[in-house]
Amino acid sequence: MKKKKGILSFLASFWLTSLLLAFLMVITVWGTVAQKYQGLYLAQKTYFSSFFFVAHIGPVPFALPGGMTVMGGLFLNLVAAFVVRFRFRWNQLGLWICHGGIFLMLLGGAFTYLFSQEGNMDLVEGEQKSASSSYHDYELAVIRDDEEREYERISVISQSRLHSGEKLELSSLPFGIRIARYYPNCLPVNKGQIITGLKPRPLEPQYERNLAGAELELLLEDKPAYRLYVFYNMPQFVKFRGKTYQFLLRHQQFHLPFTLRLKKFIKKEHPGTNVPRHFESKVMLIEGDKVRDVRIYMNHPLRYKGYTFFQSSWYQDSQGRLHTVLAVVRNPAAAVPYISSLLILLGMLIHFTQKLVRFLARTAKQDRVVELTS
Amino acid sequence: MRRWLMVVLWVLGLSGVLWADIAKMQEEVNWRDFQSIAIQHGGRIKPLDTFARILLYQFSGRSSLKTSVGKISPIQWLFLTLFDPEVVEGYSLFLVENPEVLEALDLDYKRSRDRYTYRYFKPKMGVLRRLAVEAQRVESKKRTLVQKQILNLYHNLLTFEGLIHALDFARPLQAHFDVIAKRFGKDLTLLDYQRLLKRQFGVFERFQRNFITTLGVGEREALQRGQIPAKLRSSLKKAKSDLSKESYVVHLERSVLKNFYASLLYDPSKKRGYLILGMLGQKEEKLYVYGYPFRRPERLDPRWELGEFLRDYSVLVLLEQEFRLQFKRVAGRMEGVMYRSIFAIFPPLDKSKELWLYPWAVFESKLAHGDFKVYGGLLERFANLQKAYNQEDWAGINRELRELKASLVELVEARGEYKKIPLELRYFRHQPFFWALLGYIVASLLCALSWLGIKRRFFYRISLVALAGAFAIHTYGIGLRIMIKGRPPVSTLYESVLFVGWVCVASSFVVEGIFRRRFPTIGLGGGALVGSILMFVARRFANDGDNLGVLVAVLDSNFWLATHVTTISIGYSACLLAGAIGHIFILMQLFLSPQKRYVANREVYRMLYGTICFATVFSFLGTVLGGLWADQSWGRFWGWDPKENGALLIVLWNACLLHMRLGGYVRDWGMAMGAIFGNIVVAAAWWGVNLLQVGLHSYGFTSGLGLKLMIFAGIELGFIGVGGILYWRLPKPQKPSPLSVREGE
Repeated sequence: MKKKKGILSFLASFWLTSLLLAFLMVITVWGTVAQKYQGLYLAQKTYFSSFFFVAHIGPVPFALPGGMTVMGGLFLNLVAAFVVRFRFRWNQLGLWICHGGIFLMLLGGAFTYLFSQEGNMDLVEGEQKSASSSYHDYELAVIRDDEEREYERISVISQSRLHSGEKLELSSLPFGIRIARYYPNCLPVNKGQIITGLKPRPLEPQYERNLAGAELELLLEDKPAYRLYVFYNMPQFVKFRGKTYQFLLRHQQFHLPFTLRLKKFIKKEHPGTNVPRHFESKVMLIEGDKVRDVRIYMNHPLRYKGYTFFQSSWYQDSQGRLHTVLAVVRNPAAAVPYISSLLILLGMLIHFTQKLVRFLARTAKQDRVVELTS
Repeated sequence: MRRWLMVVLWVLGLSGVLWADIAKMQEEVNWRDFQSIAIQHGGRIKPLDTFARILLYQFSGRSSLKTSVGKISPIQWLFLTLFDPEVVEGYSLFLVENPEVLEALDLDYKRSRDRYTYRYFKPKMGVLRRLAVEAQRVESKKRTLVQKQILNLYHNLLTFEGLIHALDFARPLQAHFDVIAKRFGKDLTLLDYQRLLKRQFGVFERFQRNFITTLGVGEREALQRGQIPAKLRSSLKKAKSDLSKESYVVHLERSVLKNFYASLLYDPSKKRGYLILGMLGQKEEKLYVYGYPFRRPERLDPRWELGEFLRDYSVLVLLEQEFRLQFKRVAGRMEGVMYRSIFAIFPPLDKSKELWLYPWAVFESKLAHGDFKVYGGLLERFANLQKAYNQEDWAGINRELRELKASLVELVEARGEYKKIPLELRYFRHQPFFWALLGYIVASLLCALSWLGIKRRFFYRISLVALAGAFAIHTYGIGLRIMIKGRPPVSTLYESVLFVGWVCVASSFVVEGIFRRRFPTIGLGGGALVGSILMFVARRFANDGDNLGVLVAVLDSNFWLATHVTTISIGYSACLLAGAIGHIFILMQLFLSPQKRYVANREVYRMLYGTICFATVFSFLGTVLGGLWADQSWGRFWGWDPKENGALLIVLWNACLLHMRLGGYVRDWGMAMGAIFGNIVVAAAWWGVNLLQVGLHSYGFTSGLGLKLMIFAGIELGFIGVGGILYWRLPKPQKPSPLSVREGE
């Protein structure tokens, strides 16, 4: 039996389970401590959403499996265990349900990782938006205006292609773009609105604070024709064949099928202190002709058409106006954790209750036997 | 030599007097009344008792003040600070942890972690302010230790200043004008001036009203426009010339009479005479007119009346000047007090307002607004208290305190905010967690005695009673906290320690109940042990700020606090209890014979397994609920935040142990050592992540924690090591065969 299913039984072994769980603990500790030095975003990327990461013992580097590998391993382990070990018996009912839940939870996690969309929306009172912007990812938008000076066409280059040395040919543009240098964090050197250079800076642990910039070369027939610098939210203009092109490096935009307008932002503190007590954004949800008022506040998000809006934070700008920051999330697998954790819990309760009942019955019997014999 | 002796004797005598005073005060004053006055502080309404405790600990790191005249309780300290600042300024009150702070201020230091007086820092407040402003500019995470302590010290000194000046208006002031001092007494307070002024003005206002009513309509309107009717003007002029001849009056108050006009009007139809008094400003003619009715003018000497009246009026003018000067002086001082709103004990009468008022604000607003009736009386009480204190009139103090408390409580009750004050007073008076700690220690000792085999039954029973008693007191304390805060008892680190301890003891009763007949006292001993350790740890946190304080908005959800935090705490508790049982498992190997060990190991192994299953369920549930809360609030179920990771670690470790057990890689010994390792995991998840100071859950941080955690982890690893050695060296336990039982017989 064992020889026949050699690989499968290895995959299903308790030994592998224990090892993977223990190693997941190691990674968790590692990735948690690393947050102090690298910040949450980078640590998460390096240790949890990676297949391998490089650790150093002294000067010697070696690769260790990352969170993806370990959780993938646990998934395989679980599937193999279903095949090899699980039996349809009453006393395994709880285990079935519980491990089914874990199966679902791991799947849901992968699904969320692949398909969810997280961003935020920064609104000042009276402002309206129909897009949320990513926390970390940038995009380069090239916008052409026609004679009436109304911006008409937008070409967008996403974060995955924003690397030093990347060459881009877009059919919508009459020139090519080469990204000579890409800086994840830098400061612009500028004369008025025109950027003349970029000073690179070390990465901040709080990844949202990094402001990206890039040195671009515009190519004509594959030869560099013009050089310009772009920096976060500072539009640069280039005239080419009588048309003006706007180059804008901005956080990646996610378009929403509706519009939100901030009517009022309310914040309250505990009396006489700076301890926040309540934040609330009163917004207007506009979709075509339909308009309705919504309140978004702590623990009471707005859910609409698969998007969820949370009261995330607020700040005061240099002009003293209050801004609200709403977190905008779209996660098709949002319900999975609820279902899977319920299943896991149910399974554990069934299983452990069965065991407890059996144990109590047995001990009661033994105690009776002891009493009888003595 | 003799001179020195005199000085010494004098100092001794003086301190003797002071000592006697304060000791007498401590004895005589009814502190209960003072304690139960409510105050708004730190965003909530609390009794003065709590307020005093928090501040005293914040300043000095101690829960009572040690002075040359003996120990002073927080509430007594607060009373002295308010009513006798001079004395308290000389008390060594402010803790300076780091000598570098004093070096930066160019002051000498005695030794580290010593306390210094306010007077010591007073000349350096300017330097300190500069340093504090500098430190404030640095981002809070990047501040050095010294910068943090400078900010703390500065904040503490400002708070103290806010207190010592809180009642300045009720303290005697040296009068500027002799006339005033002669007439009203030397040591009037600002409040006295205000009251006198009010009274005197009242008299004159009445005159004015009377006078105005006798004027014709046209004349009245002219007066209101600020013009002097011709009729009046001539009579005023005449009065002025009369006055200048009037040596008696002029002699009295020459300075005041410079711009003075007075006249007598006689209304024959009503047979009434009126005295009109005017004061003309330098540039524009501004007229104050007062009527003085003479009912029977023929029987009075008008000149005498005029003199009397003018004297009163000049006193009023002087009084007003005096009040303005003194007000300026006190207000100028208050201007420099940055935290003057610290003593916010006056609830606003307007129920829609949330911010309470402090005495000075009330005093100031009294001039402008009409809440005089309510607040005026209260301010008077403070002035009376101050007077009574100065005269060492203890009965007077008690009377005034009683009245003050009664009227303040009435105001607070009208707002519906007094309900929880008596509970909080009771909470601090009864010190339930101290008694619970004592009970747990006693129970542990008794349990240990029963393990040693001396009168096993007897000690088992009384240790059970002690544990149950301590648990009841513990429950009472947690219940009080729930009632006071209106929240599940898990919103701060301190509370979570109390709660985890409580759950540990509660579950130890369950374990004991299940295994009582087969293997008693293990669960009991584990519960008592964990209970005493956790309650001991909790004491360290009891005084860190307001342990009943308000919550930030993110945590403000009773539903999630009650579900997520409670279950995760139960998970911690179960792990800790399992860890305690693991310790007992290792220890009992040393004392038991191989035959007895067989049964003991089997039973304790079952106990451990059950507890770990329980721990797995609850730590999983807690972790998942945390994820769901995060999903509800931030839109993501899992974000690898340190606290989430900590919770995950516990789940992973328990799951790992259970699977290793299934695989047969661990059995009784392995389970025991694994449970002990679980203690380290819990410590890391519960406390260790706070060391990182990142993430969303950083609700508690204590310096020196890192070292303590390392020591704890070291001890636990040591236990595991000892366990390993024992497993290797000790003879294997033998299954007691029926044969051996028969041999025994």
